[in-house]
Amino acid sequence: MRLWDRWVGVCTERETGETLAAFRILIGAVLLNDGIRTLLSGAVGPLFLPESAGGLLRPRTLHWLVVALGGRETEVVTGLFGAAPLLALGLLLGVGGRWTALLTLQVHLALRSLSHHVSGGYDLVLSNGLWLLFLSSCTATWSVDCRVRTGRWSSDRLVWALPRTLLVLQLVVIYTATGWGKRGFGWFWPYDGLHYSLLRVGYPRFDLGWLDAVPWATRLGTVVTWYWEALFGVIGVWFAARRGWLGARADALARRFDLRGLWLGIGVALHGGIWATMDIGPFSGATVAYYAAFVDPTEWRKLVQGFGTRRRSSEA
Amino acid sequence: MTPPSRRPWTQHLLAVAAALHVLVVVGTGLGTAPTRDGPTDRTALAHWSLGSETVEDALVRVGARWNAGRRALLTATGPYARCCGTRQFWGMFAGTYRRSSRIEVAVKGPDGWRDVYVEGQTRDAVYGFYRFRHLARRIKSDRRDGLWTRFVASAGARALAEHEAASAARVRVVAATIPKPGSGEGRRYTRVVKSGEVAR
Repeated sequence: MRLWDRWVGVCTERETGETLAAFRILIGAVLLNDGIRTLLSGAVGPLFLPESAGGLLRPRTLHWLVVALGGRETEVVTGLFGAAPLLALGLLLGVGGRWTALLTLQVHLALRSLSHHVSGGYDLVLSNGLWLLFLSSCTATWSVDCRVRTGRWSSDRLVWALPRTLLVLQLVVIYTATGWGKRGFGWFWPYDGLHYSLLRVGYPRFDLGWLDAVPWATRLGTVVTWYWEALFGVIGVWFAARRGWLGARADALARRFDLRGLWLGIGVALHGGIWATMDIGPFSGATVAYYAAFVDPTEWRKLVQGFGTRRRSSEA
Repeated sequence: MTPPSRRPWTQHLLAVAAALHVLVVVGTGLGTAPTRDGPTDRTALAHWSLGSETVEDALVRVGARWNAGRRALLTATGPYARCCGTRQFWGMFAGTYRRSSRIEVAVKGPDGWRDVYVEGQTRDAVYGFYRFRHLARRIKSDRRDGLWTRFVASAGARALAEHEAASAARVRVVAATIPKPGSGEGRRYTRVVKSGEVAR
């Protein structure tokens, strides 16, 4: 019973909304970029349109929104692709409260249902994030909604902290699963997983054949990637301790040893490396957006205020 | 902090909903435990058990229970996961492959065949688009869906439209073995896995 009471306590904590606002802005930016790149790629036709209009794929089960709009017709598909970046912009700016997040999620799922072979894990990361944004008061601050409501761009209104906790859990599950899911021979001694992955044609931006000459680099990358992913739960425990859920002693330890610099720093470096060498669409952006959840609202506020102060002093 | 006994029922309801969400995320996200069915899983089990059969048996037993529980959970919470997009499994580079294959498109002119697109080498707005890269994997491995046939027709027609002097277009999947690190051998794409032609 005590455990349940503690859980209810965790679920009903409140805080100011800067962290959720930062996550909303980042996810909005990632979706906006994805939407614009998709429109400009010229690939909408072959990937998403019906066969009669030059499409290559036959969808399995269409999302309810596509069915409600009249099915997989050219006008429906182009309409949804036109709406997606606009909704992403709305999310980024913080217009329409949580309902924009819900509508963006439904359009995202509808577009993915048109063509199940062209989705990546990042689409699930994005849809998870959008659902958690819908469950949160994500436009409480740093939003057009806030400006309309209070006359200011920021607000001290308290929001449920639970969505932020669920974002952290999501990221921990993603990385842990990815690490323990790496079961091919290359992920064990002598650690040649990255060598074989990067030398396959598919996602690399350019030919990485030169990597063959530096096996120590790919081996080091394999080791760091695997252990960092498989042990990502450590930063989850740190987060729980830092929130005070594991007792005063754990809280004091977490305050003394801030693991975020190391764990999230490695993550940013890995995703930066992946982004530089491979084109996996919104993969790196969508995942790194979740890192925002590890930063407390007060820390976000200080960061933004510090940025504003630096900008004003440089202008003066 | 509010004493637990005085919490309104709505807070308990919120905690129940949150617990269910956590179950769905953890259940779908952590994926399946390895079994002895496939070579990849057998490799992982052998490494994780440090060569001990007793440990391997225990891992398989616990894994089988996890997989059964996960299946039941997914069946029960499937509609929530589908509607809300909370399904999550991400197996990035989970397997390791010694073979690489690429799509090549060529056109036939007076001097014979000439490559106009080679995956991984030629820049192309459509074929290089990241969502098309997912599809390219499916095109290469397709055997039943007819996707390969449709792609040959589509890529062939596009190549012929872009090269007016060409009399035919050819689409192939060509494979190479990835050499061991440090061997200095390089990849040689020579083995034709499948091929299709479109005449003008």
